[in-house]
Amino acid sequence: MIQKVLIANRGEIAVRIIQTCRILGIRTVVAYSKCDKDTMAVFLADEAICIGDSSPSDSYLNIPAILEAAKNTGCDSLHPGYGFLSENDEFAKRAHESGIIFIGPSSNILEKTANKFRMKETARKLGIPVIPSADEDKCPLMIKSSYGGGGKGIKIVKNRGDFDYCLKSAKLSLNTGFSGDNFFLEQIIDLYKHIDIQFVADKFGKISILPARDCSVQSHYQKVIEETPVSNIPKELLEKMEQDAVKLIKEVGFDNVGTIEFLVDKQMNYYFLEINSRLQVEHTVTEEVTGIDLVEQQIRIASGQKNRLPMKVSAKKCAIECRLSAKDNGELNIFSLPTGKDVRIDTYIYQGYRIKPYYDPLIAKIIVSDKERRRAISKMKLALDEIIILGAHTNVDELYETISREDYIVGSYSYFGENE
Amino acid sequence: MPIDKLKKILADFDSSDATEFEYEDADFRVSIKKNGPKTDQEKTDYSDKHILSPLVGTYYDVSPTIQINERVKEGQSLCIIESMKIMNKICAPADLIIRKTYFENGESVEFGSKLFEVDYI
Repeated sequence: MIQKVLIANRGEIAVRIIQTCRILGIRTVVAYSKCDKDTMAVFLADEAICIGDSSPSDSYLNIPAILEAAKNTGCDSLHPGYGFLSENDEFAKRAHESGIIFIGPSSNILEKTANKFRMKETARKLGIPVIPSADEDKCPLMIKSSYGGGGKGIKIVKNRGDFDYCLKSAKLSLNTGFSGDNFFLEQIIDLYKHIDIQFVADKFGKISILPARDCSVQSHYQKVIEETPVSNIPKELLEKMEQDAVKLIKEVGFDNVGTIEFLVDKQMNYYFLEINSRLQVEHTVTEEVTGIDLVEQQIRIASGQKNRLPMKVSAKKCAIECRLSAKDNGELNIFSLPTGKDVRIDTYIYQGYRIKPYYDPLIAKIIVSDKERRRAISKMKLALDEIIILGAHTNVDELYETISREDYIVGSYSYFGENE
Repeated sequence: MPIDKLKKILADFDSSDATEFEYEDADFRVSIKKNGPKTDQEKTDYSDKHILSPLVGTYYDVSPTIQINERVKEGQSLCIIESMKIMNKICAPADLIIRKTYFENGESVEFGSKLFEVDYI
């Protein structure tokens, strides 16, 4: 079993990882950037080591500095969190070469899953439905990038005449070079729901499927509200997606915790989208309804232990997560988050903290749960109502409006940004 | 785009606080980036009388070891920070006198750790 973990991340996820490590008796070291010295993870970890300047390329994306920090502090493993280097196969490979266990899938699996076009081909060969390809004369269509993420490299082309311009702007939105062969074209589907199949797989081929999540409230291709289990989608359809997920996990040989994303259209067809080879922001709702600690699962499997979960884990209740984000970078003079039964808060912020401009604006995840979905929604409304923040603007009003919508309450609401 | 216009853009960009610039017209596209807001790292701040470590690693003395009250010329090596088996020489940013040393051979150093207290001459 792993003894000492370097956490190569920041914010709420760094705190989240420390919490599980403390329960398991694993020592923690936080690798932090110059401006993050005052974050909660730095206070909570057993040790903290400054690895570079505030800009991500100097710190949280700086592979040599992170590996040096791990070696220097005597860590036997590292947890990449989400974002930053979490799905970077080069990072996983170099960690392995330095004798450090990467808490995530093996580097050869990360290399496979990172290429969206190749994964789509793999799925298609297995008979899993994928979004049909398009050609540039049949607009509207969607331009996608093999290595995009978080909406980068995606563009909708409405008219043939706009194609060249849209391709250019899709290329511009990527930070990685300008080679044209990284792009592929897809038909536009009548999008209804975005479904995540959460799974746990070990190095011995044992796969467990956990309750699926509905992540159909998004903004600029970023998820905003997520819930589990999925309501308003036929059970047989979900079961098919789960079976296809298992096929794909086996084919790839995936050996840690991950997610397979599917899209469902209004005609109830589903399509494979991509594999996420990391812990996801919304893993919390799955934890709430199953009682399983997904960070613990990641650590145990990376340590070489067997997956002891049943092949199919069912949800004991319903959970909803709202992502609370800052819209500006003020100092939080008053910062009070909801408390009480069935309310879980994942955050790294405290009163007096000044939000840093360099990183993601997420300030807290508000998670509520209940046996009944409608009661969970009511609880979420109360929880959002209890939030008092002075010093920065947040999206709390938008969250409240969304969960109060009649169509959200019946489970048919979805929003994917103005592009859709 | 005429080369003079491009030169002008580069000069204006360089003197501005902006870190990124993109321009595109029918047959020309330019994208310029500065290396982030780290001017405080690169320029020597003479009011701060400390030499800071530019990276995380292990501290090693140079030979001969720098002594307290020693006068050092600009560019002279003060110590070495080893990071991922690469030896990084830390040099004096200007002529100075060493007033205090903070690390001993083989100790771990963080990014931004104080390595030496100095007086600039």
